[in-house]
Amino acid sequence: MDLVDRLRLGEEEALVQVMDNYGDLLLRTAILLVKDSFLAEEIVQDSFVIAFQKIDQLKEKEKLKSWLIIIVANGCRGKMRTWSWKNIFLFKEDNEEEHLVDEANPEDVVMIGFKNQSIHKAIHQLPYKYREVITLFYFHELSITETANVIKEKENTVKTRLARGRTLLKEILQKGGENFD
Amino acid sequence: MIDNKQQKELKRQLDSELSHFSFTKQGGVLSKTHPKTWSEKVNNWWNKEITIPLLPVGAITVLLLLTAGMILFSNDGGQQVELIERGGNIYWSDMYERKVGANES
Repeated sequence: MDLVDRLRLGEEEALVQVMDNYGDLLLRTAILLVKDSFLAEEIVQDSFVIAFQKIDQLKEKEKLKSWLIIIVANGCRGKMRTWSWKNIFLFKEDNEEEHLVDEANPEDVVMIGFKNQSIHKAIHQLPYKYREVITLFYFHELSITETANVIKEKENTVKTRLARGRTLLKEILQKGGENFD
Repeated sequence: MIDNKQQKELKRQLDSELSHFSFTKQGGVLSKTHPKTWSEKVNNWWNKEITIPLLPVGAITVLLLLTAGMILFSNDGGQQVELIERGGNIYWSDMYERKVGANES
């Protein structure tokens, strides 16, 4: 019997095994997203509880890992969500696609990161929507399509955010860490 | 545009930077999913998430408030309360009648 089936039966050992397999990875993801290790640990803890309680909602067993990432990403977004008047103007998101220009290539970002400072601290300084796609794409090595599925956005939006995120990341690394928020 | 090799390099660097963070709250998860002690069970029950459907509950609340309002107003018995002037002062008619009635008896 596989792990997901055992989780469905409510087996404690199966849950422990899932936490052993994915706990560290999910915690590091949450740290990249919320910038606070205590809050990140709380989010991951809640995510495992949710996953265990709602395991029946997982349709494809082999997608357990990406399902867990979605739960953690949603948890992080929930914690980071702040009210803003700009939420009213829904058309704002569509305009993002007009600026689809990849100004920095990943190589630049890595090389600058090596020379100056840690990349994760630079990622922390990105606005949340860029931090989210950079984390999913680079840290989780998700494809554009998979990233779009996790954050429930269009692929073009993900591409735009990645391009903009990389540019901002490069600027942050070059400047040695000024806040972009 | 997006170089797979560089994606892997960035991943490797992030892994190395974050390697000292490990998930330590397995016990916290298990106490919620598989409560063993009595206090864990009570705590679990107390913190249980419930979902309240906003629309029906909101509609029922509005209905109750309207009903309560109607009952309150209907208890007036149709008596018209108005401002009256007596001896140069302004009174509510019902209050004035109560006071005068009490003084007369």
